[in-house]
Amino acid sequence: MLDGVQRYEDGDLPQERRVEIERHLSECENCSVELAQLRSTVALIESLHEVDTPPEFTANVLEAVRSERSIEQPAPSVPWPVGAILGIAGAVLSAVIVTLALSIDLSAVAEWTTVLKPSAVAATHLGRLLLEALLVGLGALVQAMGKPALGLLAVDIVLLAVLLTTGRHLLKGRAVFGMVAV
Amino acid sequence: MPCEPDDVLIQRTQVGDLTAFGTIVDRYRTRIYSLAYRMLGDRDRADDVAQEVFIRVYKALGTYRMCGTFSTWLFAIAVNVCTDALRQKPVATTPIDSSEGGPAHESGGTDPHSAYQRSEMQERIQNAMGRLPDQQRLIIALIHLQGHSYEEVAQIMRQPIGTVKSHAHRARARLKTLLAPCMEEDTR
Ligand SMILES: [Zn+2]
Repeated sequence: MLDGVQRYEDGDLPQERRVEIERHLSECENCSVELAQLRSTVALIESLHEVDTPPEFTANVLEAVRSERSIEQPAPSVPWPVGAILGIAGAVLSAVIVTLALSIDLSAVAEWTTVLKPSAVAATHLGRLLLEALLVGLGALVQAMGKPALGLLAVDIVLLAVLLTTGRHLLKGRAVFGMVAV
Repeated sequence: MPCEPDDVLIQRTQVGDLTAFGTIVDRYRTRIYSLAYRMLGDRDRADDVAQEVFIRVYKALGTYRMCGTFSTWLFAIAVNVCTDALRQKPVATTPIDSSEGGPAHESGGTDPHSAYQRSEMQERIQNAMGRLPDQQRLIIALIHLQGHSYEEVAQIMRQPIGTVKSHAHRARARLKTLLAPCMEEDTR
């Protein structure tokens, strides 16, 4: 009967069955006691208090979440083939720049150097400095985009090759490049 | 911002606003913690479990799509974390008639004697709950302590509503027996 009483309490029964049960409850003491006890049971359970969290609860959760996040987002890292391609692309780019610099008409540079007044040697030094600064900059760019070591290595190898093949025009090239950069 | 809807706070959290997530945690922490405490019978474990619930919620927010209500989703996660915890270690109950060390926090009541009686009664009810199978205790807690309907509990637990109801009926029948002595005291 308890099950019937519970379904009655749940409001799950069709109207005629409800009426039937209500009639029975008014006549049967056992069942009406049963219903009263069921209701008291529910009242007792519902008298359980909510329990308060420790005061630092939210702070602890946010702290845990913050450290989760810093673990999960160590910069969107680029897979190594992409890093290598970026490095080689960077090296090719710098090789192109150097080659272009070398192909510039040197007479213009002669004028530039006289206009700017520093001696050819000074211009050479300046050019070397600037070229090296450019290398460092490219290296940093590659580093920011992908695998640092691999990218830098690729830049260095290609530039070394370019420098070797351009041979004795190197100093002029550096000077020109320096002037262009200025 | 007196009372932003859950979904607004969720969207803000999804774009990296931790303050919004803090508001969510503040909004639900008592309910989740209470559920965990009633399920585990231990405050320290309830604290760990409740924290774990919110951490899992945060991690899952990336894939959370607003279908249904946030609270149903939240409680479903809470049910999973509680169930995992109970698998590792069952609910803590004290032997019947043991009256040492009542619940750690009791609100209201200035008369120490009646406060003690109330707190003893709370412990007896909690203990009776602890004697139910986990599923039944969970359903009773969700319905009678958290105020969810059968439909909501069925969604939260991903069980047919008929199963939820029959668990609830069995649980109430068992609690009625377990709590009969309390009711006699009550009516005296
Ligand atoms: Zn009867």
